[in-house]
Amino acid sequence: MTGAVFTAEAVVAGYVPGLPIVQGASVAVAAGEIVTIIGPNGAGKSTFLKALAGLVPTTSGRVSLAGRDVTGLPAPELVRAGLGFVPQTGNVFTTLTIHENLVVGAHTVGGDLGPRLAAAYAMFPALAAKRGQRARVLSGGQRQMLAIARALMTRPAVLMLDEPTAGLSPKAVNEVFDDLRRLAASGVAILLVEQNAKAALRLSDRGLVLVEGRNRFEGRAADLLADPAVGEAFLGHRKAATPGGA
Amino acid sequence: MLAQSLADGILTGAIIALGAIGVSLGLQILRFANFAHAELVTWGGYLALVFVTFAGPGTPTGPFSFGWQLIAAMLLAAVLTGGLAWLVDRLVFSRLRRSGAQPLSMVFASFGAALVMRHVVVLIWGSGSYFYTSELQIALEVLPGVRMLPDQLFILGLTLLVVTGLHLYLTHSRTGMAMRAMAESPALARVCGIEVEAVVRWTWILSGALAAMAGVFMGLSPQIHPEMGLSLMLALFAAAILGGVGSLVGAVVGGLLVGLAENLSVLFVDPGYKTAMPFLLLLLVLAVRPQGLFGDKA
Repeated sequence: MTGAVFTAEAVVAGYVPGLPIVQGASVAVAAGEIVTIIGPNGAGKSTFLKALAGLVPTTSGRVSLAGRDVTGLPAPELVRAGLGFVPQTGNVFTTLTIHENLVVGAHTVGGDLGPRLAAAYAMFPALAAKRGQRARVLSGGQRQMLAIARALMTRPAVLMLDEPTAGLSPKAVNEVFDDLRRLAASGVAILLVEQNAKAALRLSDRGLVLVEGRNRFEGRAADLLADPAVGEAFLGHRKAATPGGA
Repeated sequence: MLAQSLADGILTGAIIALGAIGVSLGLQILRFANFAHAELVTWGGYLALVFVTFAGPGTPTGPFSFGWQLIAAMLLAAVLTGGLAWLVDRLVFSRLRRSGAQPLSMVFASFGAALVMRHVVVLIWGSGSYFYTSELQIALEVLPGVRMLPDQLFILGLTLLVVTGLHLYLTHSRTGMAMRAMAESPALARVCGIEVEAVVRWTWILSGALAAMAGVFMGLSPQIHPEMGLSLMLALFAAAILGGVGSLVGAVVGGLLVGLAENLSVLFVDPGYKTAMPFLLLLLVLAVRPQGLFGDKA
């Protein structure tokens, strides 16, 4: 894709050598764009993100970030290169305070963190009020806010989120999606894995359907939402009744 | 009698606490029970002895039995023991980590490392005991019925200072926060850009330095010998687990409780059972709080 800030091409990755879970998946995200990966359980969506974040070994394929080849770099190097990642579970340090979580999130950043902390608290005022409290006291939605704020402390070019709305109330889901819209509007490229497929596609510019570790469908999110094949298989749409059919 | 036993228990506990902090950090950050840690206590004591042998313990300063030379020896020993801890990691444990060894393999490797470290001490310095200083001290009555040597008060004061400094370091410095973050979740720490190996290295160095201080304190009250670390090993683990793995405050409180349990128990039971008392206390606490007094629930 022309103009993409982050591209992954034909990535093969897995936890056990010789047993790849991701089998040649590709994705590209441009600055300010939201791309959502959907697919059935076990399709390899989360493993794909973890591989892109440097947490799962990649055996082949090519990943580039802002024009730089970052294939196979370890997670801390990818953070320095401009990648932010919010895992699905365990995405905040519960024994650390909210303030400490944000400071740890900026571990690769030198100098005064004051302006970055102020920006994080301005974006998520609910966190500012609890900055001295341990993260374990936060609700599910607030934890997601903290996880996103933590990942944003390095001002990444690309933010990847693995099911950020899992287990959240409808109100909290809307808040998270609003945050992602605001982030994309500020120029951050967002790559999202979501079970809440329809809502995520409505939020997104483009989408990708991953099945058995490979791209099955991809294109504009609106097109995927309207595609009957995608709708029936992955979005829970009912098959249109055919005249004279059973 | 009770007050004196309390004071003695606090002194023993202070030394145990310094060693237990390293054990606790190791259990939480390195994720295995490092039985070689106690040998770092011994090495710290002997490395300070090397400096003291050349420079002497110094002219006694004030009420203490030593001068600045012993303090310099302790600082030097702390640096060298930190380096030794890191070297042991490089030679033994980092290789196992890279090969994906299970924690149990690491534990057994630590037993091996402990044996080697202890016997190298015997090989170099022999199996006898050494004193840093031959100065005699007169105990001061610090409270009614409580007498302590000035050197013992120095140990308590410096332990308090070190523990406070370490607490501030872990809670206010970025490296300290990174250590605590990695202790909770190495995977999340990595996606925050934290270099796991750098934190592991720093954990070894810090633990080694604290163990060395404990070794020098043991040498001041009153001698060092090759098995001093071994004699402390179970108490260190009891303190770390009693206080709660990964908790600095827990390691300190655990150390004090172990020291108190050992010293107070002799008032009520045969002194032969003294070393068993901390474990009785450990069993009682773990029955109520499996995560230890200050530990976080898994």
